[in-house]
Amino acid sequence: MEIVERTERRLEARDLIYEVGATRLLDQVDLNADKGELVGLIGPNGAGKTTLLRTIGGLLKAREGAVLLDGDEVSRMDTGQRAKSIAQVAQLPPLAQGFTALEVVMMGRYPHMGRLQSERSVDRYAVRKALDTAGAGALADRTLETLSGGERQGVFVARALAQEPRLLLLDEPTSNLDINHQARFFHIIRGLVDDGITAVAAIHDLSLAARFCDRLVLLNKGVIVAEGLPHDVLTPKNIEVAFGVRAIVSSDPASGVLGISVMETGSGGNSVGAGTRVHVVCGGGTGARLMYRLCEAGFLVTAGPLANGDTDRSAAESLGVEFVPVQAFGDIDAVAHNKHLRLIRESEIAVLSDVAFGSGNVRSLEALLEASLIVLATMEPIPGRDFTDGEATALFDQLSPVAAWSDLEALVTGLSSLARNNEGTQEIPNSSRENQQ
Amino acid sequence: MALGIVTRLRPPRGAALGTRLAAGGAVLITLLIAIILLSLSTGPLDIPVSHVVSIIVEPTGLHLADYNHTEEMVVERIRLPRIVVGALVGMALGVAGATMQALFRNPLADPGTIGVASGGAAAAVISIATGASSLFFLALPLFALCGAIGTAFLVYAIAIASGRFSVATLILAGVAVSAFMGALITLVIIAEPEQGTLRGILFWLAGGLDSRSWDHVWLSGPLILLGGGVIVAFARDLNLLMMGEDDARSMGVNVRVVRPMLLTAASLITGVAVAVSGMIAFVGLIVPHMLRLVFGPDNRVLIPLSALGGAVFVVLADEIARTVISPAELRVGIITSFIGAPFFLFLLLRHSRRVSSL
Repeated sequence: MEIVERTERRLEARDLIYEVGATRLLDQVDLNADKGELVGLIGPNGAGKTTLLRTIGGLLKAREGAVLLDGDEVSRMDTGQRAKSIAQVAQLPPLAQGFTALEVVMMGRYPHMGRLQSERSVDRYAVRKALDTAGAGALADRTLETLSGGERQGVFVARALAQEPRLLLLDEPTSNLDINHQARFFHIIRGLVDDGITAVAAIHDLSLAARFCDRLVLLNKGVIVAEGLPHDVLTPKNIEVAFGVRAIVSSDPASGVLGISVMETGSGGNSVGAGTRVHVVCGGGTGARLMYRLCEAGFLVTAGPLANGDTDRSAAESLGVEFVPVQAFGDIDAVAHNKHLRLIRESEIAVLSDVAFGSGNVRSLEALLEASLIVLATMEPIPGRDFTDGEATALFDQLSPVAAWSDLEALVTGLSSLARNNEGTQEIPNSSRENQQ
Repeated sequence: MALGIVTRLRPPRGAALGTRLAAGGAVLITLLIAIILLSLSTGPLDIPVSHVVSIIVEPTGLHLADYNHTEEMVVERIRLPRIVVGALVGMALGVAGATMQALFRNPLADPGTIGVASGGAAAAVISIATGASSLFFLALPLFALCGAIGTAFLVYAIAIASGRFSVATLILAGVAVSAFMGALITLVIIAEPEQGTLRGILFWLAGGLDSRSWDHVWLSGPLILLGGGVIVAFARDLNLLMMGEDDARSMGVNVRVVRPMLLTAASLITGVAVAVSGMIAFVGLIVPHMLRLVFGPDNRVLIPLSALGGAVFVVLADEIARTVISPAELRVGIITSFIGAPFFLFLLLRHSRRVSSL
């Protein structure tokens, strides 16, 4: 996705406040969009996305704030002037039965025509072009009720284009379409944007938003929570703040496309962690599943030093787990070591994975000496994983792990009972003793 | 029936606006002229069509055939004004019906939906019962017109009283006010001791065009043409309003001005129609529906054709009312319902999928 021009600001909404009765639906919202930019509006139901779009489009009057389009205030435009500048596509296009696609698209020419003027060739040309651009050229003579949802959405995009707007506002336009039509729809919008139109779209599907938008604005309860490039906005932390769910944000290694899936926390046996802070020392892919399962079980997870390119580091990033970033093939410097020590001291339990130790990461074991409670997530003896000529083994022997489980589910159960007993006696649960042999 | 011919002459659905309008207009104007000529020549005194044509074109200086003075008097003083009033009333009801259906995005809307017709009727009935209707010439239609317009304003005031206009509130307020006016009419009828007056009330309520004069034409014609003209000029706005208020506004329709204006125009012409003809049922409901089946929902075609179709329907119904039990007369409102209801049901069943097309 190339960016066309970033020289002038097309849309500038400042300090928008919109209220219904005593309820504030928009609270000092700012939103900017440049020429040739597709801005995605995301957020939970009731966040104010539709209200914001309607306010920008001039359908609602903000109590305070201003919406500027190329410097002109939208609320001061007359309806015709506004319709020539801003077009909107609703979530559910009206089912006005009996009208043909061509007639519907011709309605978009309303602001360009005089009251008693009949359609001119310029209008017919604009309508034909709009239908073709929106991929609805073959539907011109079909009546609306004979069209599928995707086809009808295409007709209403064509109608919006027939207005020849500078700004296109889309309110969850694909929420009723299948995945194929969703992608096709956004490819069309993307093409328009790359040709210089500005579009703001409320989008339900976060992955879709990340894939097609230049920038995202995350809205919650009428307030902007985050805005910026998709991968900066769609962090597990932001998603948890806005949507109230733990999410895994992964980036497809090949395409770079962001994928978002929701973790089911807090249901059934999944909340055993109850916010206990657990620190995981891992690397080389030994901790990915472990961290995921611990997050899912409701533990507050942090991780030790992880080099860039490490699978465990990607896992920590997509889970929103705080970790100690280090350079690949480099040593753990003083700054990293201190951060690691802090994370260990702040957690109630430290878990050591099946990770192998070399000269680069052996300092992790040194830091673990500070842990109050150590659990091993492996039964493998340390000498097999020691590539430091005994330095790692020597450090390991100074640790006094209270338990060890190689089975992930047993580990989760064990950690939760450890967490519960932590305040009282430091008794080791029975199951762990058996396992430790 | 007459409009059935139109169904057979259906132009292709994709035909251009102008083509559809011209085709429909040509058929309906031909029908209207034919029915008017038939209507002018039939009655207690049979007048040959050639004489009728001759009487009509006489003022232009053309002399086509010889006719006697009685024939001239019957055509010019009795039959022609009655037919013109009928045509005007039909136009008004057809246009108002199509307008209300589009404004309310509801195929069941008719000119009486917001209580205009029943308000006009209540005022007329009260004026008959109190004798106020005979105070001066045209007193009855004037009372009815005031009642209709007053009711329209009342209903509109109720709908905007909540602070925010809503179509649903408007329809519900119209239904409530209509029910109230209906009860008022019933009350007056029950309380009326005088047989003659009672008969006059029932007569008026059944809707009729008997003994309408050129004065009725001058009273109703300008207002109906004015209101109808405004609606025709805003037919494209009506199309956009059928897409919903938000859509219409985002495409540039000034809904806050256009909608009250169209409501006022439709209410005015309905009120005028009720004032000069009483309650003529069904025209505003079925004429736009039939035409929509043939010509599609575009109001730029539908509104002008509904005017012509309404005129054809009312003039034809009046012709039947005048002749079917001659020398006595039936009421035109009874005929419109008797013919209209079964024909409408026939269309409904035949095109059950498309009747809802609005």
